Amino acid sequence: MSSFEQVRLSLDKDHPNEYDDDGSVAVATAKPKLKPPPKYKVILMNDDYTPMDFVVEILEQFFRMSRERATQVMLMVHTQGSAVCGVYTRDVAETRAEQVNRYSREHQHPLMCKVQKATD
Amino acid sequence: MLNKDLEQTLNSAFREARNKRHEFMTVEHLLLALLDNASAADVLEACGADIQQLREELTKFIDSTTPHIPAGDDERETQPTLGFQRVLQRAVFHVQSSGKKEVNGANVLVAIFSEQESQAVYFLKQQEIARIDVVNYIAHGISRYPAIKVLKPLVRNWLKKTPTRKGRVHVLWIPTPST
Repeated sequence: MSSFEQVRLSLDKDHPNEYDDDGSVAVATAKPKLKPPPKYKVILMNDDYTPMDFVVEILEQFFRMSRERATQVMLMVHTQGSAVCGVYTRDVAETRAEQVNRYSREHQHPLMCKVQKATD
Repeated sequence: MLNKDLEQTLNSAFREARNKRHEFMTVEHLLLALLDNASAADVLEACGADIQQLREELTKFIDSTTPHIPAGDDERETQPTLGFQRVLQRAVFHVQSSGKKEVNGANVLVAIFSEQESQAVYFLKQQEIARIDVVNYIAHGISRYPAIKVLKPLVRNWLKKTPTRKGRVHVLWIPTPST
């Protein structure tokens, strides 16, 4: 920050009337660049009451996984406590999680589906 | 509650999403549909929006990110996302609390801006359209800023041609020519 201001000061000295034309440098620090919105992960949480085959059914139905892949992810939820099932825009991720939670409650299972900002 | 135009806009957006077998009708679907809604398009144009570019960006984004309903699945219907429903709800609440009877496309456009981390809002901001520009135009009409409509696209073109001057140029900085 301070070194940058020194640069600007020296520019001002050299070209007292032209600092406006060097706008690219000044603007770049003054305005934070507009960033595209982050994606969100949809995550299934482990619990001791939801049957394994119900989780597999969820993964097949709502996340379009093959039986094999769904079983893998289900086991990951089971052994690691949670697993990422898909990455979407925030709007779609929230809707998907809500869809899964509603479906689980309708079937009397406490399976919990959450969203989390994807950091990369 | 919703005016005729807006209802038609929403219906055609829904039909389009269903025809493309999109599983969700998102906020981006909503903004794309509003580009063909007279009331919303008028506001966007007055704020200097490049409608054609918005249309292309939104279509591309929607087609690449919206989950599809698999071909064999006839039980699943296209459904509005939570964000989509929040936007409509906000527009309805606003119109009710300001004592009006009907929601129009412009009200919905304003309501889109409150969506957090939304690609639709990102596309609008990329074109330097802020909520304040939109509500300023809706509240006070074009007569208040007669130069915006003409000058903002001009400034944007000028910015494209002079790559060293990056960053946002606020349209209110431009002197209004005497009319």
